[in-house]
Amino acid sequence: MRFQVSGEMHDQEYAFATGRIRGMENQLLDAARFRRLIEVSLEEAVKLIAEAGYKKESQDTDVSDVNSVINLHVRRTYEQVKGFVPDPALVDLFTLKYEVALLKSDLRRRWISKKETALFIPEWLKHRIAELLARESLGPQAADIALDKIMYEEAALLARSSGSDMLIRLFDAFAIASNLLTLFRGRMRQMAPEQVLSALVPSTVDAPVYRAALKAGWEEIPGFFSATFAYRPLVLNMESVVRDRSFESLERDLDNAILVIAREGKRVTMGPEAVAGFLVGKEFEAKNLRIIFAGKADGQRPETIRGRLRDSYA
Amino acid sequence: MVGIAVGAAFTAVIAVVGVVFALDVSTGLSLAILGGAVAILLAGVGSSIGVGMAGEAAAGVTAEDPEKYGKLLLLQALPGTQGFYGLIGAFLVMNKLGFFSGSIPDITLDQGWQFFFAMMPVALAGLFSAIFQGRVSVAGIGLTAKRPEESGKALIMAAMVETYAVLGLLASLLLLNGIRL
Repeated sequence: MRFQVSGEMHDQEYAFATGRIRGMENQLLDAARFRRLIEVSLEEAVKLIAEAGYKKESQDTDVSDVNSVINLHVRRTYEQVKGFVPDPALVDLFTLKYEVALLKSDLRRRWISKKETALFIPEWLKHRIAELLARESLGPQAADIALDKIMYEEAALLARSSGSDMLIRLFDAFAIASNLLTLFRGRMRQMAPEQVLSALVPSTVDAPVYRAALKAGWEEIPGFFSATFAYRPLVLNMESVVRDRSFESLERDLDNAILVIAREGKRVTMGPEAVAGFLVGKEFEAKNLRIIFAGKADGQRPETIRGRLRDSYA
Repeated sequence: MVGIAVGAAFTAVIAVVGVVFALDVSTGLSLAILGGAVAILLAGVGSSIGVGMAGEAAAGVTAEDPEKYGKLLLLQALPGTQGFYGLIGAFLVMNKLGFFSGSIPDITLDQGWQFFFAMMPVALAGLFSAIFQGRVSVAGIGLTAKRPEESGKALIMAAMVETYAVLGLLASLLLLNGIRL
């Protein structure tokens, strides 16, 4: 499946969707509301997010099932948006990773029942997964990597078929961010370069660049990515990555840099970019809520939670 | 969508002009009427695209927040004025040709072309300004959705595009006045 509405004039097909998205953007949580959520008690925070739509239809949200409520809300939003966009494939770009994650966990649990597991994924992607599952020699770990590669390849193809420069850059940024974290984890665990390189997903940064970054000194790594969105987050965080052996702040800054690309959707008159930007915003909102509630449950200090939050799209 | 509509409108005009030549129409009256018809046709096509586009965006916002309907309606209506300018242009052609008084004079081919070209400013300025005004209206609808208190500014921004449709109508009116029968 590819974008059906594409080309230079396709943005006008998105007039209704863009209007609807502009209305939905008002319901996104802004930085002030995230701050408030951090300050209040866990029970009060649950009530506050319920007011913002994070609730089950029939019952009050319980503190214990906040995560499932967040997941449900995000999925409901995807379904709602899919219902009114001219190209449902645009939403598939975002739901793909959830479906692949489901497939991965299912594969881990019951590697044998392959046909059944393939039912989770979109119809248009089934043939590729079927090919993968047909390879008997493939173990769960290799399948994980192969599935990631398929997912990012398909996402890049879909983005390209939209004809939108912003979508292409956005999904390339997701791929580069994923590769950087794989690369760093590989280096930290002193994995063989070939093993790390085989786990990288397709992106506009070529394999030789990653290979060189694997061999170079830590302080030289940002230079290899100077032409990408990741340069500044790398420069800002390389020291802390080496010192603390933690990617937390790098991940946060990479997400914030991706959000900068997504925010371009707020400036377009109409088009798939507005929808994609909103969906990234919704995804990061859910991520922030998970950080807040996990932090509260663990008894983390408000400053610690605040430091881990991503920027708000609102 | 816009490309197809504009292409179709121009093709229709060229086809009609082609038929005029092919049939060797010697009276200018047909050309004069064609000028008026083209003014309504192109300005109307532009307005319908602009209003349609803005209407879709307004419906999207209203689906989320029905209370904004009143503010959005004005923004949707703005690109519709070009269609009326086209109608005014055609009405003036008909008036000048004496359609309403019942005494239609003999119009030479030269005079027919004069009528035809006199209508081009309102037709073309109407077509393009309505489409672009529709785009500005869509942007204004987005702005109003986010900040309802700024709807006045959104309206002014969209109204700025109107200037060129008005200039087109004015030019057509002056050109029409210059035609000696």
